[in-house]
Amino acid sequence: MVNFTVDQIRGLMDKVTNIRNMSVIAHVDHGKSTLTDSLVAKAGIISSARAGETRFTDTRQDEQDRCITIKSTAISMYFELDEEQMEDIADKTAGNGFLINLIDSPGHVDFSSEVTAALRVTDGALVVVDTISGVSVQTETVLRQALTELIKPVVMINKVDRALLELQLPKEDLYQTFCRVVENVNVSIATYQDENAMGNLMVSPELGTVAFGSGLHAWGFTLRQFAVRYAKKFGVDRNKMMKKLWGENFFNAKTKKWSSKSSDPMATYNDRGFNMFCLDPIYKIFDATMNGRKNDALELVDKLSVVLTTEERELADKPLLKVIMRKFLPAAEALMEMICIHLPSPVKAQNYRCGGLYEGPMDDECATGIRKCDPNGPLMLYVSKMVPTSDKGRFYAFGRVFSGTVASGQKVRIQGPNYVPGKKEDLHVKSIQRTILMMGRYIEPIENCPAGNIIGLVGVDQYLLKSGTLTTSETAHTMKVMEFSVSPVVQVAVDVKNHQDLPKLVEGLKRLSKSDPCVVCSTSDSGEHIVAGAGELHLEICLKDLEEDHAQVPLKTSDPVVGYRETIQAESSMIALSKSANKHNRIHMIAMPIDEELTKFVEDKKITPRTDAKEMGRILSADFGWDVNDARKIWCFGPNTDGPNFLVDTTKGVQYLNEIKDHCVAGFQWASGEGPCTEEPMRGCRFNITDVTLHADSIHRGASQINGTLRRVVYASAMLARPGIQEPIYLVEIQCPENAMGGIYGVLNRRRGHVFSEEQRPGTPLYNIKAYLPVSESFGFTADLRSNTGGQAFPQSVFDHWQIMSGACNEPGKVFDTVRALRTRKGLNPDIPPLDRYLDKL
Amino acid sequence: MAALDNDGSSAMQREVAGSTRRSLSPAQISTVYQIAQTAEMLRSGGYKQIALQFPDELLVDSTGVSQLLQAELSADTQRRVFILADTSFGSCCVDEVAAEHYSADIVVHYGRTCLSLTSRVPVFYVFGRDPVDVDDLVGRCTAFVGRRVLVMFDVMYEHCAEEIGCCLRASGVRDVVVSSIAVSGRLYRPAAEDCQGKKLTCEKPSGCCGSGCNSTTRADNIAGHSANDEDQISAGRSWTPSDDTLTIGDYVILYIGGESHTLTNIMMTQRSQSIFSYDPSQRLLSEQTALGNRHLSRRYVAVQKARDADVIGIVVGTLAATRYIHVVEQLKQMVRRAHKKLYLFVVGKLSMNKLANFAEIEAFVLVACPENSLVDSKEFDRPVVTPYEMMLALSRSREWSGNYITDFREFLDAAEKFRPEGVLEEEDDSDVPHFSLVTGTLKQRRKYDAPKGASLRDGSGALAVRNDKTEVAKYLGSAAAEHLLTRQFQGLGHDQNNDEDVGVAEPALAVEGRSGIARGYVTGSSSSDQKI
Repeated sequence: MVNFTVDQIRGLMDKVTNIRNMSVIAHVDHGKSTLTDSLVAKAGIISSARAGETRFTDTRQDEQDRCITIKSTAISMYFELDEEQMEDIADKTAGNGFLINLIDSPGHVDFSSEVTAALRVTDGALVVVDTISGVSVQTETVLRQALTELIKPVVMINKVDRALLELQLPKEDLYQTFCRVVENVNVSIATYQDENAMGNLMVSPELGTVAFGSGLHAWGFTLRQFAVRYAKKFGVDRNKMMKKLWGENFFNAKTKKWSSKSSDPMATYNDRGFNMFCLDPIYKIFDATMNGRKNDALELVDKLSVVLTTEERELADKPLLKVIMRKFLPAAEALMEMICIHLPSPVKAQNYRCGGLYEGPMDDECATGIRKCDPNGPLMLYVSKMVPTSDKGRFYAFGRVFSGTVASGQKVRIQGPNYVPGKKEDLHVKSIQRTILMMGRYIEPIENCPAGNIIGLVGVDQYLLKSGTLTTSETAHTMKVMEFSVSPVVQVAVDVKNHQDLPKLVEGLKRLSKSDPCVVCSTSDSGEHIVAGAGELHLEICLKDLEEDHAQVPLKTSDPVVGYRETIQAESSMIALSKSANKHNRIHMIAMPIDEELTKFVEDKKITPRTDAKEMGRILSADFGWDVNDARKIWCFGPNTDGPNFLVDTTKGVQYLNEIKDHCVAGFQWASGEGPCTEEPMRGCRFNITDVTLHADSIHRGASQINGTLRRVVYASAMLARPGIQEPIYLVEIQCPENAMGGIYGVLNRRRGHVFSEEQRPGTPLYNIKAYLPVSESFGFTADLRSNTGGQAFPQSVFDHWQIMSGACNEPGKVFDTVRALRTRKGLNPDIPPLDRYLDKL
Repeated sequence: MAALDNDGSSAMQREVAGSTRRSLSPAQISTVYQIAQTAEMLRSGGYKQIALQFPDELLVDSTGVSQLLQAELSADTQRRVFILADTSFGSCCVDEVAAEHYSADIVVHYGRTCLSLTSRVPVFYVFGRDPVDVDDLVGRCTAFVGRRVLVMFDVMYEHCAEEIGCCLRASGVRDVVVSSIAVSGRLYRPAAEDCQGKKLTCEKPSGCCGSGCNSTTRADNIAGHSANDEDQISAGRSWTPSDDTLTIGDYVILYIGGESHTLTNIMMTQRSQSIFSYDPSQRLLSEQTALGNRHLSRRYVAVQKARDADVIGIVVGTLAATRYIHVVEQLKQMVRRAHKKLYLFVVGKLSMNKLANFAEIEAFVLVACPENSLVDSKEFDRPVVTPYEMMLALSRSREWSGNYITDFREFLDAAEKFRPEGVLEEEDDSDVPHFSLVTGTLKQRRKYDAPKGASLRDGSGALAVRNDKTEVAKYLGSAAAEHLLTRQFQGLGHDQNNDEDVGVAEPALAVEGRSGIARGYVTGSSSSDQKI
């Protein structure tokens, strides 16, 4: 019993003003998927009786089992507003039918990358907040992500039923709770919103951008709905009524007058508008049904003109409550209305999002097409993720058409993330086999799809790893690559149990890295297959997928390991010198550490090798105290040409120097990718070439002589500069009741963690603890924490920064031991090579 | 890490290794180097020009051996004996080219050898005899009781292999098989006509294996090919299971000899239960599995890196082993079929510094004897792989299953099988990018087709916009030209296009340069060339 047909949807796709692309985002366990269910039920895909139980968008078995969303899932829904609701839509529309493309996203921090991918293709976000736990860590994180992607938020305050049934909160307390949630959300919005582009994004109930309800019971409301109800009853203007229903507006039932302050807080006849008009009927229904006064309840139902069937009238207690509430205040109704009225259409959103989406010039045909959301413009389609198909090893490319129209059989240019306009790298010209509509567990083929819609594509998955741009314009640049808020810092080595299965593992790794936006699969120098993920849970899911779906062979998994970084902690104690193999060339070098701030700058891509030399000089000299000449003579970044280490030419008047630059750059990439002590990448080091002596004949200063020499001198200078190790640190946020704090502190202390912030959540007995925890100590942390706090504390860990471990690699101590352990793991001689291996005498 | 150690210590150590061996007395020499037997063989074969090839560590004895041989052969003054040393490739291979310079009729090869077969010159192998404390070895082998053991050995210990076999059998090991070396104590003569080199002609002179036990007289192929007497197992050794149903997987290999290329090679190619090695000089028995796996893993990474390479260099590291030409040809075909660019090199003794001069080449294939081709490319940022590994890397569908081939003939057989598959997949999806396991990203292949007449004409007929940087070479699909364009320094002529290099002088006429050796040139008549 599907409420809409594919043809209907296809018709709607052309009416871009009536499309809403939105994602549901929230902290883990705040009820996104459950809430989404009630919307899907409205669209008729699952029966409304089971709404709240199936979690339609949790398509995977493990998602159902664990009750946690892992992958984001998209569904398209059709919804019609009535005349009166249409009046409130400020922008131009075409008819009262709306197409809503909804993406349900995971809430656990380990899967943040899925959220990023979902946000990219949507224009609006429904932020779900739990009434009781309030705005949590991940709520803020996803909200920040949404705002940086220029996504407009609306809020749903969820799980109100728990506040009523479990906490038995009085009306005024509930109102205060709601107020705090709205306030907290607005604080986050104020911090990150870009007012120039999108105007004021603050949410407020009286504007109708905040909904209240229960996803589980499938009821919910916005003030607008009550305002409409009362506007009819009292014959007042609906918008005026809405303003009265929130904030410091009190109604005196005796005098029938509104005032801005409560004359007598204890008097029942004089109460806050919200409490009296919105909460009162709800409280009455709860009270009557849950306390066994069924007749009262049914009477109330009739008064509220809610129609129940005879069977439904037979129910009692909770089932009855659910039925009444669902019929009285259907959640889908409230949410759909809020979404249609307040979230922007693609036309409106792409106008301001264009600058943040497109890398090319803002006046070319593609940018114009995106800005206008023009179905006749050049095709611009961003593939944000890959969705596995039932056909093993093949994927649907999931993305959004930003400009033009994509059709089955169309020939398109597939531009990967490394595509540079005018070059051939990372470019394929191929036909799209099929375009499909993705709806949760089902897909529907569709002939074509115009700009502004979310779509699945068949036949381009081979050419893209995770994401990319599809276009028909030869001059098109790529769409901006998504930046994830999590980085893959936890690694495990996987291997097959039987050697014959190796090909399957390799194929499996390929599929795994396609199917997850964040995971990185690579091979270490010692031949291990490394899978790197954002956290323990993420890795666990990835490995399970790898073993059961992608590779389908038994696997061996190593204990999780952590990547380290090599750095230096002082300036080289002397100028290092290395000679080339033929002894005719000498390079002199000094290594010195770089500011942590500058390192971050490079890592955040605020400075790249492509930054204009003058601009770079200005930034480095003004902000970081570099000599302007040095700043202009940065030869390269490393490793991978954009890493946080610099090779700087500080020589004066050296002959043939430009000839060896390429060799030095190559040598530096290699050296900075494998540091001298542990062969981990280097970080935050600057290497100054102070002098170079070269052989007069070019054949004797070729790549073979210079390449290795530069590598040796980098190692020598680094070893002279107190080499150290940096380890990754998690920022852990834990929410817990006071009595669990002792356990948390104990666990953190045992694991070298330290708490730096501890706040009580206003109005709740809950505390928010923020702590730093070394990633290497985080394995089993969640389980440990649960067992030490009786399951009351649930941590959210996200990689935060690199921290230097105190001590030097070449002096006995903890770092020394770490280095030896690392070297042993990599199959190297546990001892660091002696300095004279790299350092030559004049 | 030779590339990192260039303070000369590696060269020093090489000399030291040779000189620790004290030269032997004439009496010892004649037994160790089997002078009488050699002389007998040389006389019977009627060879006139005799080349003696010594590895570096045996050079101390070379004069003694040559004098003794000369004395033995003195009856016939027409016979002349030469000493060959400092071979261009590995000293384990017979240096045919050097031998041919002296138009030698035969090469007598002393010391450790990879047992690869020659293609032109007959060769007589003298392994030498290093002592083994058999009692000590058997005493340490208690773990083998009840298991099946295959005894393999480094060539120097061949003389006592059968004795060890007997003693092990006596000590209660269930089944002992001793491998044999086909060319041991025999003259190997390459069959001149048969270029496939399938025939292995052996002449067996009197009294080679002194021991009474000869359970292995039939030379069977280890990989289970049909019993073909000429078949060789890898590393030039052959063995026969005591029961036809048994395979290598049922045996534990006991290798006698220190850590060497031979051992590595055996570990890579033989998939036995486990491998133990006994080092007679240290008297140490150790299990080698972990090391073997690590080696395999490293090779695996090299294959993965080679897979990402679009420009491939074939390095010829031997001129002796039979069929190296076929292997090179086969490789060329495979590389071309994969639309990759190919360069062919001969660099003599392989050193990373030599290869580092060719920056545009992304992977090297080393065609060398089985023992020298396993180069640990840790010291070099480009992978150096064997032909078999390159074959795996070029194949799209095939992944490495852990089997390993170093022998040329097995490689050629495998390459034959590889071919049809290569043709099949060529057409449909050859431009699908492949997933690189090294970086974890998709890698798009660049295509370099061999400049056949037709394609070249096509290219030059088309109009291309030529910019002032003279990138004409671009549409010819030349890897070198592409590499040059990515370089910052593109030679003196190009500097003029850059605004930064305004100060650079105009191109000048060529003048007489320097002459002499690198450490100090004699500068030509004018010293103006310093400015260039």
